[in-house]
Order: sequence, then structure tokens, then C-alpha cells
Amino acid sequence: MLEVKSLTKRYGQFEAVTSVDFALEPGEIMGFIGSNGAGKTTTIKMLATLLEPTHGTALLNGRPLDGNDLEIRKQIGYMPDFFGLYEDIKVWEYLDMFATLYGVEVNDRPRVIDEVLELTDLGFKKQAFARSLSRGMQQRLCLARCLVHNPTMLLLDEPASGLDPRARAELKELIGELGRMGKIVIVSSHILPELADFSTVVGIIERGQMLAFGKVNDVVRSLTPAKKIQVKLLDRGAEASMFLHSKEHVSGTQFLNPNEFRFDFTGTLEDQHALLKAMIDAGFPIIEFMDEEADLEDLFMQVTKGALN
Amino acid sequence: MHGWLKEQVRIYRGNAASIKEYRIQLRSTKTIWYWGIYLSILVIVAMANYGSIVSSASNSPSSLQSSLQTYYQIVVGFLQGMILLIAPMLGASAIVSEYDLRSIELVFSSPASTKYFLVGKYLAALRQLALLLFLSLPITAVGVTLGGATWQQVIEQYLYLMMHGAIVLAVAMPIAINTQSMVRTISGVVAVLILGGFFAAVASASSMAMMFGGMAGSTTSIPPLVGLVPFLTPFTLGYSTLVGLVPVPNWIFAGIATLAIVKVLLLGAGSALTKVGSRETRSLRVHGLILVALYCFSIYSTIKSIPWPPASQRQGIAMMVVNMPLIPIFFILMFLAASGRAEDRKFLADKLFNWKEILGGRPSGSLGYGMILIAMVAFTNALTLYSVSFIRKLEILMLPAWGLAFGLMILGIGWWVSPGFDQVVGSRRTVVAAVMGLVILSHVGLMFLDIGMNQVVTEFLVLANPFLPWADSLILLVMKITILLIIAGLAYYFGEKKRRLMFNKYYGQPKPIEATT
Repeated sequence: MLEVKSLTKRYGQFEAVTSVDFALEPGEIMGFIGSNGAGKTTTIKMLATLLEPTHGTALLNGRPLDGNDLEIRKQIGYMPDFFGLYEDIKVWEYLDMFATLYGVEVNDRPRVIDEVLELTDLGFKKQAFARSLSRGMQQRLCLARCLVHNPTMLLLDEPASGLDPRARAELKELIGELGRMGKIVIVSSHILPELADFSTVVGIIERGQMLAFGKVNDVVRSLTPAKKIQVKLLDRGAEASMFLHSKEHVSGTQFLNPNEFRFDFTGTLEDQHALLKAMIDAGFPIIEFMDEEADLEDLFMQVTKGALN
Repeated sequence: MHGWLKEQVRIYRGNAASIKEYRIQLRSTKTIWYWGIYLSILVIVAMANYGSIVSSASNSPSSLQSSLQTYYQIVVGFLQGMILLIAPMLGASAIVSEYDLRSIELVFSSPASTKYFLVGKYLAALRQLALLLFLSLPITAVGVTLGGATWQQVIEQYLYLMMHGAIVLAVAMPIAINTQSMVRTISGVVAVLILGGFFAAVASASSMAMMFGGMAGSTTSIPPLVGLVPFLTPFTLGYSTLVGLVPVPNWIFAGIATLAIVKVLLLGAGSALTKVGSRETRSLRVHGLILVALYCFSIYSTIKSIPWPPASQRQGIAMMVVNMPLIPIFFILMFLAASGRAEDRKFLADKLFNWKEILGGRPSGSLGYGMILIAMVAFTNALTLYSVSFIRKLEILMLPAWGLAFGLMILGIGWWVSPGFDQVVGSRRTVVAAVMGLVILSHVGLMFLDIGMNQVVTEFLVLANPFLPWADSLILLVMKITILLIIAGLAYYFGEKKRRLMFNKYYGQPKPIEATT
């Protein structure tokens, strides 16, 4: 389990990260969202023990993530937003080097390298030079590097940046698989659709402050008290809108076309049922009456609206 | 103990950083080009010399023999130059390439220690250097085959070349970490070699001259100060240094000195890579003190071994022996004095003096560590001089006091300069420039000494110059010390005011970073 408590990083005059708190269970994949310069990379570097926090602590399975404790790094797999691949070195040699650095036993290394290459679907490139791989393959090689020592937690900083759609889809699948393997995964990105598909937990950071954190649905629910309901009728759209406005919990109608509109609703599920029944009883020819799901992008825009202005 | 041994085996055998570096070195097309150019130049130089030397020699066997010896010496001299040029390039490239590729961050996100990384890099570069020397063997072997040298001489010479290469390589590593640039690293190494070479040449040549002057060259022993300079080893071949009554061959001394220098330089590189108060910084400071103690001991042994000069020369020698060895310490102090206010160092939060930080690397430890270094060198040397009746009792205190006052002035300038800089590099450069500027400006008077200017004026410029320890009376020396202390006091006072101002600005009310979109 990862527990982050009041994690703060201050550079002289300003705070890059301000008192960030969150906790993650094994198998949880956290989508770490924020615009450029929001503090994602600084937070990830502190968790990777590469930066010393000014205040606060982070515990991985009860052990502090401290730069002086080299052994804790065996539990962490860190993938920055750059490749850092060497020239004139083969794929297996690159992995062998990091397996050695992470203290994997000599006899186990060939097996471990084969396993991570298989997992990242790079087995056929084992003897190729790392620099000769495509960008997507290089990204997968970097992920393979993070896995050679079987870490408990993976920190992936902007893993999908610069990848084509196919490579992105493959990477998403791979990250999902890592979550299913029971690893704690933190994936940062400022491209929201990248994270929406596989994140079980979301953290939104802006100007160094964690504005929202929790399971995607919980965060949506807590941050959007007024849900949007979309209604489509055969006709009498304007009349239906006026009818709705006479009811409780309804506000802010927005027409999409004369017989289709959405409105804000703050009532309970029972109130929603009663409202639909009232419309049907009133004889409105309803074709559709549905909740609009708030996606991560909406959520991000809503949460960061204040911070960005 | 078992864990420590296991760790040492892991570092020195099968080091992943070293193996990776070696693979890259052997595969890189650049390496093939460099080796090709190196060998071609070597062959051209050897052929050109061989041709000119043999054609100019007369037909007598002794003349031919002498010409072949010259050929061998030219080739070896050229090799020495090549090694001094190639070693910094290898050291710089090993470190700078990691910064360029940003792979250093990946290495340090693993459990590999700084020592593991640096030793791996260093061993790989050293192996490359050995390989280059090995490749030159056929050319020097020509000298052996034709009778210009013996195999024993060649092997000895190659060992010395490796020693020199090992030191230059180690010099390059901390500089490369600080500059992260090939060109600046090589320039830095050249500057260090010039300064180091100048100091070693002056110190060792003086003591050697004094000794041989007194003994009329009838001895095979050399003073320890000479024996400990690895770069002088080729010239002191066949000489030994007396340890008690046992003559120890000079190459053993030079080898030990090489290992000690390499260790301290690698610790310096490790300290630059790690945060303040790291194990590497503490180890560097402890090793620095040990090295300085050995340095003092070698000066003591050298003074003991040289014949007594005439009384008229004693003051000059006293000045040289007490204050000359302080020059490198003053350079170290310029580095210790400087700090920056940014990044993780949090130097602005530091105090003026904290004895607990003497080995830790924070500015509050600089004052204590700097004073210990000066005191060790100056007082031990002064006591040594007193023990052989070179100086009077009062001078035991006064000569080192000047050194301490000068050191305080450097540290004070550092305290005044540092709060104005974000990065330690900027403040370090300014401290060096300020101290050097003060010293150079104050020495302008020296230039007029011999050009017939008013003797009183010129002597005043020298004798009243507080940056020179020269004084023909104790009162003058006290006056100089007082001036240095006043400068130090003013620098500390205004530096402290500036530091508090900056502290309030930077730590008083922190503001969040502006988001960039």
C-alpha cells in the first residue's frame, strides 16, 4: 500500500507541490492529471526517491520512500517522460544492465529478461539495438526496464506522449495488465483520454495542489452535485422545457435542437423517477431520457477552472 | 563484514555501469576513428623521429645507441602528451554522455550507489586508456629491438603513464559532474594540471635543489615531498625515499600517492553527485584531512632531510615552507566558501558556524573545516621549522596566524557573495574571481620592483601588502593580519545582512509556482 502524507516540495520562493495526500491499494491504477507544470513530475520524482520532499512523507508498505534507503528502490519502477537509451547497446544488454543494477541474481537474469520481453511483446527484438527500435517499442522497452526487478509500485510519467494511436492502445492494455497483476500504478498525463480507460483512481493536481482524488465515479459524484439529463421528444420540445422548469430540482435548460435539450438536475434517483413519470403522465412524446456521464475531461475542466483563472 | 565484502565484489567485479560502458566503447564507430587517428599520429611521429635521428647520427655504435635512446624518449614523451590529452576526454565523455542522454536519472532511480556508478565509469575509462597504451607497444618496442631501451624501462615507463592517466582521468570526473560539458571539463582539467603542476614543480624542485645542493648529488634518497608527486616519478627513477632507515623505492610512494589522489577525486565526484551531508561528502572531508596530514608529514620529513641553509636564507625558506603549502588549501577554501540558495541545498537556512556540520558540507561547516585545514598545514609546518631552529618561538604563532586570517577573508567573501546566487557554480566563480582579483591587484607593486622606481615606494607596496605574508618585522605582520581580519569581518557582516534579507524573501512566505500551459 502507498500512503502519501502532506508531501510538499518547495524551491526557494515557490511551492511546486503543496501538501499532497493520497493512498493507493495494490492493483489500483491512479490517473495523475494536471496541466504542464502542475507538479505531476515533481510528485513522481519524490515518490521515486529522486527528489527529497521539503515536508511530508510517503510510505510504501509501511517503509518510507527515502533517498538514503537504496533498498526501497527495489520496490519502485520509475519511467520518466524520456527514454534515456544508450547508443550501441542491444535490447537484452540494456535490460541486463538494469537487472544487475537492481541486484537480480546472475542466474535469474536471462529468465527475467525473457519474461519482461514477452510481457511487453518485444521478444523478437531481443538482439536488436535499442536505438533502432520504433518510438512505441522504445517506450515498451523502458517499461520492460521498470519491470526487471518485479517492483511493487510503478511510476509512469507521461508514458504515452509521442506515441501513435496503435502504440497508445497497446500501452494502455499493458498498464491495465500490470494493475491486474496487483501492482500499484501511477500514470501521469495531461492528455486526459489516455487515462480515462484504465484508471481506477484519479488524482487531479493543479499549481501543486491536489484538487481532487478518489475513484473516478466517486470524484464525479462529489464534484458534480447537479447531473445533466438529456431529453429527446418527437415534438413539443419547448412546452416540455417549460413543464420541467415548473418542477423542483430542475434548472439550466440548454436546447440542442427544437425537440432535444439537456437540463441540470439536483434531486435524488427517486425524484428523477417521479419527474419522468410526471412527463409521461402529461403526455409528452419522450424518445430518450438519460443521464449524461461526466468524463474525466469534463471533470478536469470543472475542477481546474478556478485554479487556472 | 561479509555484506561489505559482497558489496565491494559487486562494485569492482561485474559492475553493470562498467560493462555497459565497455560494450559501447568497443562497438562505437567513433572509437574506431579515435583509435585509428591515435595510432596513425603515433606511427607518423615515430617514423619521422626515427628517420631524422638515425640519419643525423654518426657511424659509431655509441652515437647510434644514443640516437636510439633519444628516439625512445621522444616516443615516450609523445605518448605522455597523448595520455594527458586523451584521459580527460575519456573521463569527461563517460560522465557527460550520461547527462546528455539523461540516463543518469535512470541509474540513480535504481539501488546502485554513487560509488558503484563512479567506480564503474572510472574503471571502464581506465581500461580504455590501458588498451590505448597497449596498442602503442609495437612502436615503443622498436626502441627496445634496436637497443634504445630495455624491456624493464618500457614496463616501468608504461606503469608511470598509467599512473598519470589514472590521476588525470580522476581529475576529469568531478569537473565533468559540475560542468556537464566536454569542452569545459577538458579546459578545467588543463587548468588544474597547470596549477597543480606549477605548485608540485615549485615545491618539489626547491626541496630537491636544497637537498642535492647540500649533498652534492651523492645520495640515492630523495625528499618525500618529491617522491610523493607521481608526475615526477620518471625523473626520480632509481631513487628511494627513506622511511625511518629503510629506503622505499620511489614508485611505491608514487603509487600510493596516486591511489590516494584518485580516491579523493572520486569522492569529490561522489560528493558533487549527492546531496549535502551525504556519506560521500563526509568521506571526502575525512580523506581530505588524512591527505593533508600526510602532506604535512611529507613537508616535515623533507625539512628534516635537507641540510641547514645559511641564516640569511632562513626567513625566505620559512615563508616558503609555511605559506607555500597553503596555496592549494586557499584554492580549496574558495570552493568551500561558495554556496547557492537554490535546489535542495537550502543553504540560506544555514548558520554562520555549526561544528556538527564540519564534515557535512553545509556552509556552516566551511568555517570550521577551512580553519582546521589551514591550522594543520600552517602550525605543523611552523612547528617543524621551529624544531630545526629556522624560526623564533613567536613566529610559530604569527606565520600561521596570517594563513588563518587570509583563510577567514576568503570565507568571508564567500559568505558575502553566496546569497546573491541561485546556483553554487555562479557564486563559486565569483568568489574565485574576487579573491584572485584582490590578490593580483595587490601584487601590481611587485612588477615595479626591478625597474628603478622609488625603492621606498616599491618596498612599501610589497611590505605593506596584506596579501603577501612577507614582513621584515613582527609589527608589520600583525598589521597585515589585522587588515585581513577587518576585510573578513566586513565581508561576514554585510554577507550575513544580505543572507537574512534573502532568507526572509525566499523562506518567509512561500508562494506557489505559476502554472505553465
